Amino acid sequence: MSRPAHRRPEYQKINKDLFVLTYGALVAQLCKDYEKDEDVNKYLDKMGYGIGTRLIEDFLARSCVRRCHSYSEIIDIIAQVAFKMYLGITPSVTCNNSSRNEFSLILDKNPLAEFVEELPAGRSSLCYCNLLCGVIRGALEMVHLAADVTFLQDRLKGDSVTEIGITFLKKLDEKKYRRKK
Amino acid sequence: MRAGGARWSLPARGSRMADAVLFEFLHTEMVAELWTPDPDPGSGGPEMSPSVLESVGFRVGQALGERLPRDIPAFREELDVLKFLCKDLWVAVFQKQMDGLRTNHQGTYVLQDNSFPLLVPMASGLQYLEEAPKFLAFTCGLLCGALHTLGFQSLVTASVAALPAWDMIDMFQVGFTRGGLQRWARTCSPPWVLLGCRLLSR
Repeated sequence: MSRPAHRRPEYQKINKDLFVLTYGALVAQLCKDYEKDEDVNKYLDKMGYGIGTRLIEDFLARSCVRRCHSYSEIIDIIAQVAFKMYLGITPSVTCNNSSRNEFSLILDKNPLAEFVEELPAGRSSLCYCNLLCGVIRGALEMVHLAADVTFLQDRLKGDSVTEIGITFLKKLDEKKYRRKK
Repeated sequence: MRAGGARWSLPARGSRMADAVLFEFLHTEMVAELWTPDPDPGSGGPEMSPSVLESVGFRVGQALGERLPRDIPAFREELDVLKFLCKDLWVAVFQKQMDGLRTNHQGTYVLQDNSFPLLVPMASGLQYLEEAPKFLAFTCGLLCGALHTLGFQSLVTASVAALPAWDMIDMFQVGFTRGGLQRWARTCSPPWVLLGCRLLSR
């Protein structure tokens, strides 16, 4: 054991794969435990929520996000900073309504589903990546923003892209949002 | 400052890559959600049923075993396999090598990690001894799964600051008593993890 740890590039890929593989094994396990797709989806969302409430702290510690003045600024940060930092992708952002509280993140590539060709048989309503919705929802709630987060389109279900819809539920209260140290 | 009222504080994450952090968060959440205690209270203590976490870890270990680059075309002996796990697998998964490997040359191995990354540091004291097995179940399954891909059936158990409960304890008569190990381990920080691995067959 005296040789120092060697940083081969293959190991770094494996380290990235570890999360994706673990997630896949988790979904497979939940599919065994729950017959209904809705139950698996809910469970993934719940777990994601738990992760999101902790991940936000990690994110704020690593990034230098400035104070936001609008929902679209927040969405831009989610897409361009958070997704980039944790998943290595930058979804594009669209705003879906004139009151500017409904947005979509469009993912060309979905790293969570990298090793998934198609949904398992009989699981056509499974939102494979529903963990992501919970993560975003939990993280936003920790900075006092209530939001609905759901998958609007899913490549795994045959859609052309994967689209996550984020709807902010309350008016942003500027006093409450503070950058956490 | 803690969000969500969690019991334990996060370890310093400055040195961990952001994408590695995702796995740690997922693992912590899986421990919180999937770990189920044994429903029979009369069995003499909180006997936990680790099978769900272990089987998730097993699947991941299998997949990792297939992906790990192997320079050695064939392992000459069992010890080579274990060394491969301690160096290559551990580095790929935890960015560090295992700190120690011992064997009785009869199919039983003890792997030692002095700073196991998945064990959330808790306040020093005895409570982590109870909670720690939850955080080791996935990794035990992972090792089993990787060994399975390499052609071995195995039994892997883990303990913190104490030897595994099964009979390979005999090989550690030299200088190590159970009580002595526990006393010593309590002075160590972070927790000291032992993984006992018995290879059953090819």
